Amino acid sequence: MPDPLSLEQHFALIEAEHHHSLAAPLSARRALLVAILLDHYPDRVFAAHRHQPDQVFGVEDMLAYRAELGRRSPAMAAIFALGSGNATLRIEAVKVPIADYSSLGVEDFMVSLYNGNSVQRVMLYTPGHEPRLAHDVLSEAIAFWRA
Amino acid sequence: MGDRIKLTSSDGFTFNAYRTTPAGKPKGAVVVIQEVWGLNNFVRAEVDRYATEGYVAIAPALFDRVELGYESQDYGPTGFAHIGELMQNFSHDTARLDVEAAVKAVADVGKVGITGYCFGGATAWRAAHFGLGLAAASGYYGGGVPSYIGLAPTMPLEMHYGDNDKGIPLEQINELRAAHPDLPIYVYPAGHGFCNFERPENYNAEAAKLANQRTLAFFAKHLA
Repeated sequence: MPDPLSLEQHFALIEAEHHHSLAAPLSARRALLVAILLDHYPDRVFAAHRHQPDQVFGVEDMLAYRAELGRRSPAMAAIFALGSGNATLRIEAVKVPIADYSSLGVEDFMVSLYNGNSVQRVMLYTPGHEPRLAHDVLSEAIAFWRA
Repeated sequence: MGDRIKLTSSDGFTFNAYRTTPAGKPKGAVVVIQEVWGLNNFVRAEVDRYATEGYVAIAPALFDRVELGYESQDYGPTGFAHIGELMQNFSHDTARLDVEAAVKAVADVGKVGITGYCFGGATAWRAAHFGLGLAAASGYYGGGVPSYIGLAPTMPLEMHYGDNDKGIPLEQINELRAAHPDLPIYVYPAGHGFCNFERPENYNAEAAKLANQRTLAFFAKHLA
């Protein structure tokens, strides 16, 4: 069965879902959808370019390609970990320094005031690494592919 | 329509409130708890609205312990840092005393319900746990679900949330439903603050109308 989307359409879908995810910043499900689309994208890139070594770092198989991507992009490495069940997304309260208050959205501001100056965030937990804001990781991964 | 009055809590703290009395015999009383902007136009209008529905209504200024007389019409980021710093001294424990004082101030008319928005929604849930002389609670988009999900209500309680709230994860609302399957927990196609007509970017007239109808029906049932 042929792929329903071209590579360009797949990446456009990633960007569109990322946009929706940023508009719903507390939805772990939307963040996970972007992550899974990103996780699958290299497989399709490799399948499309496997006979063009210069397009796939000169490696011979998909696993080696993904490993090389992970070495070149920590964000993609984190997304691969999430896709394989070795990392998790969690919604948790994050303390907001007073110095950062002026940059808060009004909803975050309102809720933070009566919750110990903290806001909810979707965090990505990867073994051996500090937890990171999931949307930062997703943005970095997309920027990697755009570069 | 209403009057600005003073209340005194059981620990002697005196603070501001806004109270309105309906024409005719009251159906009961409603304590209205503010968003984080104090007793501003929106909250006073809500108090007045409950009076037009036949309830004695009162809104205590729950941030007066942090800054006496605080209220704001400015929903923009200008004062965020200042207010954020002040609110490091906020305490849910002393707020509870002030809610209790508001309940006592209107308890002579009959059963008392509590409602509130954002901060007020979370406060309504807490009040439904602690009792405070109340008979029912209907809260709107109370943030910080993990801080109150474990506080089992001791009276009839319903809650209203938006499915596009950028301050409250939908997953946490789902956890609330799972933890309290018998509670009416309504979810509307709306964002945070969908009842606040002074914030047109967030106001959702349809959702607000339906939620308000539900609250009035809930109070009519439990405050009679």
